[in-house]
Amino acid sequence: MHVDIDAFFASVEQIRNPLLRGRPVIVGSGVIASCSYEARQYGLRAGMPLDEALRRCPHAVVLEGHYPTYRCFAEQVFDICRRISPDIETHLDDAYCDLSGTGRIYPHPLDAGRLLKGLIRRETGLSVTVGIGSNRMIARMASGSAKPDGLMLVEEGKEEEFIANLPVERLPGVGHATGEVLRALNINTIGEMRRLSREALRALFGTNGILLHERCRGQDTRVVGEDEVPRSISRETTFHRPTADAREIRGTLHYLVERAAGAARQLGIECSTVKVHIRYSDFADAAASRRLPRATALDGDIYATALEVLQGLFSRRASLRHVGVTLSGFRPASAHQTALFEETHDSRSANLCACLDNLRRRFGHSIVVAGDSIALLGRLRRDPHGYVLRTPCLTK
Amino acid sequence: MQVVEIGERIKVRADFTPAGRIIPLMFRRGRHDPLRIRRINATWEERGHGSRTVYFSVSVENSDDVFHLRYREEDRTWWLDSLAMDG
Repeated sequence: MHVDIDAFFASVEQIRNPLLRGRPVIVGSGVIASCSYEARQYGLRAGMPLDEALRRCPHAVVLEGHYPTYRCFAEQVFDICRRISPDIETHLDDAYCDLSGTGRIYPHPLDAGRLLKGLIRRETGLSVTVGIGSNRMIARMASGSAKPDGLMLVEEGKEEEFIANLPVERLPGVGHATGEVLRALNINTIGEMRRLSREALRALFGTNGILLHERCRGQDTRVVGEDEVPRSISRETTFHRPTADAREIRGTLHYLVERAAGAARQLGIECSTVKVHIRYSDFADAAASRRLPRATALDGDIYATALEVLQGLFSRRASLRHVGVTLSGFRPASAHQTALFEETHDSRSANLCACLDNLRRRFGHSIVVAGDSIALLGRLRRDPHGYVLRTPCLTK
Repeated sequence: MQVVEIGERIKVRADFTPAGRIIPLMFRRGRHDPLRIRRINATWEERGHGSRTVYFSVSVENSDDVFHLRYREEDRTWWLDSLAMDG
């Protein structure tokens, strides 16, 4: 069962403030992070620049958003999901619930779905869409087809038929680039993808092609489970004003690395690649990635490499409006050997990070400001959760 | 719609149920008249950081304004965070 909160950020704002109900609401800064269904009637969508959104809908209410509040509401929803199924996997605004073995409690899976929707609506005020299928991919595609406030079950054995006429981009694993390649081959629907053999898909897309061969037939062997290892962890933000101030830029990069590395340590994983992305004030983008000397989740090690990448990227005499860092190439934290003579440095750094994590878990991220992040003191507002960024970005 | 950030400590009369629910009934800000809560629009909690903080969005009698209250379990204080007014 896939549970997806409808228009999450905007819905929370409308629940917190009844004056916003029935009105077009946008949450975002620079671009739309989330918009209410009233706003979507004007063609507004997540990712759209705000100035374009306001041209289309001048009377929309624009809110910057408060992400810790959204997290509170999401946790409430996930707690309700745990009452329905003991095995759940949670993300930002959606969750997967494994209904295996609950046949005695819910004679029909739709009973579980209806119960869950009702509980969430009653206890939080939020509307969710529920999709149910024989695997997580089908469940997710079902919820995607039923939004908003929907409930859809794809019967076992009907998976291929359900997805056959959907556009290829709806298939998980088909992004923009893959979609373009398929459309160039005159393959527009998932059903048409089945014409390609496993070998052909592997030749076109590598390992991902083998996955796509299974998925276009409705197959997905991934298991529902908490704390699935992400493919990447990103943290990025737009500056409140475009800046060329080196201290501010380094401070922001350091802070983003702290948050991303902290998330990796919480999951018990280490990254081997760091990517830095910048956007100049004229909206030109630049990005580069580099492999780390060895897999790590330590702030200092990752920041040192990220800073080198940034210094190589930031070569124009122009201000920056946006900076981001992405960690990838994860593996479990325990699965590596340190060189003998580096043990002391490693253990000291690891202990320091562990102490910081412990303090921040208990007292909030702002309890300690470290490294180049200190440069942001006085420049950015802080709350117990950390610096209040203009556009905090969450894990993909 | 206008949102005014306030951040003031207030006095609140509330019910605390055995199940752990908190139901604010009325509140007073400084020397102003007490405001009786007509409806609790939403409640959400923040866990961690050592204790619970509970947030409320409430509407009061004879007004369309929406008040955002906060209860800190750590020191049992109530705060008026902000006020949203139409227009």
